[in-house]
Amino acid sequence: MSQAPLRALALIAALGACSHDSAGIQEKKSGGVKMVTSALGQVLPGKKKAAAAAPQDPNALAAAALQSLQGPVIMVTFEASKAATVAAMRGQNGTMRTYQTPDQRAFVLRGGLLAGTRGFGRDLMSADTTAAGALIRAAKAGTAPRVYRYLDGDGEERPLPVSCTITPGDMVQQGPVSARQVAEHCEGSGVRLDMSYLVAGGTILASRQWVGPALGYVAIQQLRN
Amino acid sequence: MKRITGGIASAALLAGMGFAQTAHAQDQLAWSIGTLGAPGVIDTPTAESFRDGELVASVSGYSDSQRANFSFQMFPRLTATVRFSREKGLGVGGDTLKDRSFDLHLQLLKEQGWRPAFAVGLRDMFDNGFYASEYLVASKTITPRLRASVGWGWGRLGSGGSGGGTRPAPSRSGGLNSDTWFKGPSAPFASVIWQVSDKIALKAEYSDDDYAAETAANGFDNKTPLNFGVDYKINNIASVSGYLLHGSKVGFQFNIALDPRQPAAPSGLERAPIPVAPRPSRASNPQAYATDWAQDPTAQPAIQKSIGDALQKDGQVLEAMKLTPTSVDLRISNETYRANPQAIGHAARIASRALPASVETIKVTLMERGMPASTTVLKRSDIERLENGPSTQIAAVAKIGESERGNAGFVTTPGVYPRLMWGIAPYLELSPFDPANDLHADLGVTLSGRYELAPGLVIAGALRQKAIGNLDTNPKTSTSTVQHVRSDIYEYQRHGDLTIPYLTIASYGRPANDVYSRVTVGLLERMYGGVSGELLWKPVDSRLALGAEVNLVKQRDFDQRFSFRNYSTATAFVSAYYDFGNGLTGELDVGRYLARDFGATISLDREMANGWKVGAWATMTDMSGSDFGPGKFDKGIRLTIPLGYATGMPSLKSFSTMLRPYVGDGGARVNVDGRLYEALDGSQQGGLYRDWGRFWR
Repeated sequence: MSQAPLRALALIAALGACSHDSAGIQEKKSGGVKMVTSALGQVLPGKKKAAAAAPQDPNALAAAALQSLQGPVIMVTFEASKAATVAAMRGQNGTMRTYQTPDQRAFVLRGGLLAGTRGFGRDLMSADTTAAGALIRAAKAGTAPRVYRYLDGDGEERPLPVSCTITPGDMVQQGPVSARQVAEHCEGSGVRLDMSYLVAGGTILASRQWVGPALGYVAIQQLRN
Repeated sequence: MKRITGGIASAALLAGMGFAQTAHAQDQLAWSIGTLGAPGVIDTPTAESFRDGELVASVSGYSDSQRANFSFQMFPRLTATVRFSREKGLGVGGDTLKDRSFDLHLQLLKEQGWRPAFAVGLRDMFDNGFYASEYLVASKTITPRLRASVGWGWGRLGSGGSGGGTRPAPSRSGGLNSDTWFKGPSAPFASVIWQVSDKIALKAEYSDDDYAAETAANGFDNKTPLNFGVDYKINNIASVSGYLLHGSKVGFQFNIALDPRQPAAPSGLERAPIPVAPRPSRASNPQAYATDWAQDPTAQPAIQKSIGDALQKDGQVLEAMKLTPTSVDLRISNETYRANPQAIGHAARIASRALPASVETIKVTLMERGMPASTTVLKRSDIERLENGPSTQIAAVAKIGESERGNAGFVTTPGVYPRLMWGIAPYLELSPFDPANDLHADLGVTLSGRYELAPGLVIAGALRQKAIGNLDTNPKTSTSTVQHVRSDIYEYQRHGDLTIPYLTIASYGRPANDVYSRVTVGLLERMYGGVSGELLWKPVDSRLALGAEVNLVKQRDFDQRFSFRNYSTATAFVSAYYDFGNGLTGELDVGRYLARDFGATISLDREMANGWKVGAWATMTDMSGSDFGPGKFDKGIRLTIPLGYATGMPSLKSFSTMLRPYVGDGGARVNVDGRLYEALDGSQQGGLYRDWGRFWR
């Protein structure tokens, strides 16, 4: 191979792909390159993405978040990965609150019950929580239907209905407030879920809730309401 | 209203969501991929099928034989396989045979209770039929880890058998060999697959393929009709196999199976949408609903800037806006989200944060190439009430209809037009597949630019420079006996120095209700320049669309700059498009093609809500099969995989490829960018409902 083509190859490699748009929209990076590297990552055995950043000390995270963020703040810990993140309220629509994480993902809570996630890849798109939420916040025993909805691999929204039994438990002392434990057990559509809540005065202070088949359970703690 | 979401979640959903797959025995998903790329053990087939839509690429072979197979599960029961193969010593005069072949495998019955699954198949249906065989096969899952199959085969699968007389010789003319099917000697075959563990499967088969041609050419020693193999599953996508063929040869196989229903991230990894900002209730704050703001001349520009800036951050362009005290119409160009409902949902939520409370009606108009393609009318109170609810609820109250065509009352967002875009990207070009020749390729750089003078008025061009490659040394030339309207591809490929692949000015418009238009002038594509005009009638909510297209073109010189060759022609078509639902679209084009031949093209495309698209087409014209050359008529399959499938990030980009086994001069059309149906399809009712599950994403 002569020098000229080599230099040309080097130039192509260096250019990769770049673009400009006077309206500032069009993506900068080459789609083809992304697709190939991502596909290789899936096919090649053993080549896994670097593990997510090491779990931070939750107490330090909570303290820092309360200091730097205004308004309601929650801390969410994924049970499987132990990854903890804080999220600040970004929007409020009736009893529904949208909490956004620093990396711009979101948790949607309706009256403290998880009603959606955004940006995690296999998100809970929506959930019917009204009946279960009323029983849980009132710490009353009973049964309630719930429907979770997800986008399946085809890109279509699919409901996952379950039937839930809510059982109030003991009172526990949580700092200065006394709160009641409430357990919720759901079955249906091939899943069995166990969720739990700590309720005081109609507010859910802390909970363990199910996001979905892929994301599993999260622990949600209301740092500031 | 059309069904816009799927049924209740099931095991299939849970599998897609990351749960372990516990397939129903009834589905009989293939445990093993045969050496010919379809569901099978080693050389014998099974009655299994792949997952619907699955794409399986495999490479198999032993010392004297190599095969690359591409199988696609076109429908839940139909598998199609295209194969490129090399067989040592089997070609003309003892040369290596370089061949391509095509198979179909149809599952007739699913496994149910005691009844096994049944399938019928045709292998190597065209041309010289080296692998040609036909079979009927039954497969039964005996235990959750053991599956057995028995079948009866003709052609190669029955070549060691008896009876049936002599099998007719294949036609070798490129056509279907239907007169040889299920003729000649036949024999039974049988197989078992045992899944020892989740990773390893052992398999054995009885195959009466006599390997006569291989024995004669290479001394293949057919010691036994028994073949043995082992599969190792590397992960959900990749697997390898080894096998012992007739006690004589050791073969290996590598498989990659891409399931379109297993994207990297079904709901996407993009950042969360901006939430709705609800208005105060009218009862508690009637003052907020006053409309005096409309008298303030600074209000509209401030609102438009605020919405435009937020949309730009979201990857969309607010082209124009029409604001009244009670309604707004946002003309947006979605340049980020493959699913338009997601873009509409974002625009509606952004608007809820910027508009005065008195604006109750939010219309979102999707702009495609400067043409308003559809308008979704939403009540602001519905957006507030239904935020993050089931997508079916908002679908029930959203009205998708025809857009306002004129610009009356619309204010163009300052700074959007004129708009300049350019990019530099590498390109790779391959010579058309040719069994008799080696592959040639060029690598180089493309500089492309696009200048939008006004909505719907676009100048676009590209410049290409080859850096390295050997397309110029490809010895192949066209042997076509008719006008070389396409077959001179080799001559065009030889020129890689500073070519202009296209340079056009195009104007898009809305001449009447439900009607769209395009006129393109210039160097339309690498082989043709001229004028192309198109009209499309496509009501927003109609399954049927009708189009007409006329192209006056002249063939470009091989150097692909500004000069032309001595051939000009007019092509014209009328087209009908029909959306059958479930992502299935059919198209029929009737007219005059580039070589002045008359005929029709029929195409069928299937698109999933996640953007995977597969299609097939065939064109029959009055050009004779012998004039067309090998293949007799133009046909092929095409595949589009959206970039977001692999990355999980929203993007309009996709990877597209086309498999056209024979390139001839019959049934050829000009390739013009911006054909109207493709431009509008995703923005009208059918496409919007297909993707509607992403409205609140």
